[in-house]
Amino acid sequence: MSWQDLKNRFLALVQPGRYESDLDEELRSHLEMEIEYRVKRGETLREAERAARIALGGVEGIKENCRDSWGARFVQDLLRDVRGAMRRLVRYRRYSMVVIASLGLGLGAALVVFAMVDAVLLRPLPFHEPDRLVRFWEVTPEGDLFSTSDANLVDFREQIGGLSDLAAHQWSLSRPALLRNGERIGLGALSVTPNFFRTLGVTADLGRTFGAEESRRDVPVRSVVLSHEAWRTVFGSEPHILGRELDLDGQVWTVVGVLPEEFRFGAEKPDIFLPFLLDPLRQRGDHWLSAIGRLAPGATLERVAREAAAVAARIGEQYPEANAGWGVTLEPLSDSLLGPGVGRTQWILLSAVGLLLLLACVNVANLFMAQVADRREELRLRRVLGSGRWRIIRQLLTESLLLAFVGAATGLALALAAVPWLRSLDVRVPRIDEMTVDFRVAAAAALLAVVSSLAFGLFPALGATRSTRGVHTHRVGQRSVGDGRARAALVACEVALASVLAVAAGLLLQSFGSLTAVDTGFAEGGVLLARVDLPTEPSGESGRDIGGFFSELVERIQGLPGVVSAGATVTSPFRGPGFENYVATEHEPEQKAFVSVRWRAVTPGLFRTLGIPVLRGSEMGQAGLRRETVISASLADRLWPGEDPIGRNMRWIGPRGPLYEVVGVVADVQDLEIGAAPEPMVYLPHEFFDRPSMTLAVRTDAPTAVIAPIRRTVSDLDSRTGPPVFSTLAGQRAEALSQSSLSLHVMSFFSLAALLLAAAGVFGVVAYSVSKRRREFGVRLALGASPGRLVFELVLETLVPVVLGLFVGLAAALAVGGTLRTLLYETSPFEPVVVLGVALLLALVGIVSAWLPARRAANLDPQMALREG
Amino acid sequence: MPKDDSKSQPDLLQGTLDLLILRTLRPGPMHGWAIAQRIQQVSDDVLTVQQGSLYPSLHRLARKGWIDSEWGTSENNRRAKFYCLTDDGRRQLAEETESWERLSAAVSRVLQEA
Repeated sequence: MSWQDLKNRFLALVQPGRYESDLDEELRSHLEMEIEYRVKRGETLREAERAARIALGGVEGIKENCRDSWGARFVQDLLRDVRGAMRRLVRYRRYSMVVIASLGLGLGAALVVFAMVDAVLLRPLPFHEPDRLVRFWEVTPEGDLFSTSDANLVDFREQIGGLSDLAAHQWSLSRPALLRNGERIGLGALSVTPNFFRTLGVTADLGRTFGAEESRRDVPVRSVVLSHEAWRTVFGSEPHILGRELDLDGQVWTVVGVLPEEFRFGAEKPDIFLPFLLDPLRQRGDHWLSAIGRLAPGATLERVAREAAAVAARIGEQYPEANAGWGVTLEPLSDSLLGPGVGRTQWILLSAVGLLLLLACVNVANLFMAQVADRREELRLRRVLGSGRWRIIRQLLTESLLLAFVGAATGLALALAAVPWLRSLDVRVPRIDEMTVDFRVAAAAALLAVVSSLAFGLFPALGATRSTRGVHTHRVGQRSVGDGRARAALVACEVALASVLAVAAGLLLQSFGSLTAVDTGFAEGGVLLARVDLPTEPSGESGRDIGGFFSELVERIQGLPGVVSAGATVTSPFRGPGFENYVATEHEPEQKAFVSVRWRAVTPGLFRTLGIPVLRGSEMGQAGLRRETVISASLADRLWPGEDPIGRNMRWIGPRGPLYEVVGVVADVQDLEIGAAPEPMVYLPHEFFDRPSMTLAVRTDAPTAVIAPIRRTVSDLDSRTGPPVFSTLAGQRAEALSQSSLSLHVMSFFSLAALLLAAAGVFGVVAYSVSKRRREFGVRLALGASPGRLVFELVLETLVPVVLGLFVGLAAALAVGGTLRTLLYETSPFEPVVVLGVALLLALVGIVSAWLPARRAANLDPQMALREG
Repeated sequence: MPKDDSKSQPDLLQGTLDLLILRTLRPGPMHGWAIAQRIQQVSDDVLTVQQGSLYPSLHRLARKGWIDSEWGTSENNRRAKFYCLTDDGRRQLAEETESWERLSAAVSRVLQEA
């Protein structure tokens, strides 16, 4: 077929009308010329007309032939194939159902995972040119990533030419209370510099984002930008929202814009954005800002990173006290927003679902092959009668394609149901809430349908049409040797794939079990948590005695009925890293000897409430007037090995920082990354480190009964405070595990599905075998063979590919086990228990799936079987 | 006769007709009726083209890109569709002529042998 040929065929297909009228005129002109010729030769007009028509022949027949030669037949054939395929589908209902179910399962799972991977990894961030955006970190002299400060940021912005813009935002959300219709609603607010949205390249859907107006220093500017979600849920998509005045913590703020729906920044979703200005007079050493930047056109990350490092060195020289030895590092914003390990997990899940889909295709290929083998005689006959080989293959592929598309539609329907459900699970994977079934997923479904139909349809089709010559046999019951071997190979494949997935699921299960059993150091049951946010200015000052407030609050709650004990902490357990700083023993002169620790600002009573045992000494004093501290056991060992740390002094931050007296030692806890080793922890009195937001911890026997009284106590103390946000300690711990939990659930589902498919595959093969060998069994039964022996033989026969598949699958699982390591906690990828368990399970499944249909052989009536010959 | 694509089961008569059409068009463009007349003339009336097979052949050759068609006016001022040989067609003609000559020479040899 030449290029020209194809082109002309295509043209004929799309413009049939023109060809018809053309042809018509051509034939008419032919007739006229023939008539004219005959008249010239002496015939009468009427004779000539008649003779000419006869000479030409049936015009319709000619037209039909011409149409054929134009290749329009292709479409007619295709339509006929499709109709035939649909008829087959309806006629062999059971077979069709199994195929569609297998494909639906495999494709549905694949689409769900694809939607997840698409949302989390593939889709670009909703900013302008997101690959030009970077996260800007300062680096401590010890090499830890840290935030930056106002003065530093101003200098960086001026001196780094490679960044066209540098903006800052607070790391965590503040929670001002919106007063509306007498009710207080807590909102999540992110404070950002006025150039924040410009750096990201985001324009508002309604109104505007921050700009020059917010950069004025003469008057305090109180503009607010709303997120789309907040505008919808809190304000009911009110069309006249611009210019509306809001009462936030007693101050009036004006709405200037609403962000587009697809805007997202980080895992926490801010409801509102507030502007703040960099204060160059603020202490240079006060590193509290997170920064993002945009690379200038033509600049590369590496070059700008080098430039930034040079600037950092210069600043270090100019201001040695604050910045000596500090560096700068940049990373792509998309990486920073995603977090570590997430990408890896997603790819692992994608590979797993790929295996499942492959398994489904193998299963279907098996069924398809059986179907085609049954039609072998019919197909051979057609070839002998002149049908082209490719014509038949095309027909078979049309059938498989139809099945695949129906399967894909089923899978799409499953995905449509599963995706919203998964989204609602509140798993802590960034961007997972963007998961949706859209046209990309539908396109993926169509593509997968085509690929899988080729995968399971092509080889059987090729095999069935291989030869036209050959003995035309009448024996319907005959099966060819090659056929049986191919199907055994497919069974082995299925078992291999299923065992890989089962091993993965087993390992994850064991790992998750270990994780949930980990002793984090808390006594978790029965602890209610309530986050209380005091009304403040966005810079964090509130001009009141926060320490006093929370101390009073804890005392009052302690007195409530049903409360066993109460305390408060600034850092909620399992909700993030909290704060870090450096400590050392009293007389340490060098900064570099200082130890990096995590610190928590707490009230007395917290240890008791959270169930953290106090090993030595006592908690901090009630009044909080003295600089006291409680440290974790590992830190005590580190700073004063072998000695009693009680009464010693701990130096805070650096050689010239304040001293805190150690009054107690508590057990280590791990409230960040479950399963990791606990880090040294320092607990400090909250009065010295007050923050307007603290999380109350309440140990109680009756958590639900205590919620209302707590709320009342809070509003009694300060009526302007928004309602506390409640959760439980056990709940937050489960949330921290939610990413692992998600992987576990997904993988378990896959391996269950895989087991089902493999079982169905084995069942199908044996059932088919039994039905094809009825005559043989009939003979043997008639000759006196015991039915039990027949069954035994059949099962044994099937076990051969099953065991082979097991070996291959387990070997493969061990080979790729290393990639799972990042997902596993205290579980080696080669756990013998899991491997053995999977082997036994699959062997059992294989035996049962073979035995069930094999029994039918035993129940054959020998006479009927013989007669069928 | 089963309707089939001319490629897989070449009908000898069909293939020969194609060759004759290509040859007839070598000197220059002609319309369908004239082609039929010409073949008949040149073969001394031995070969009578089945007019019913002429147009399907012409259309098939046009689809394959060996001949081109264009509407024009015949010698009697009648509107007719003229066909002419393309470069590909010329090449095809040369090939098929050679094949045909080889075939007929071989057949003659066998007949003489016997």
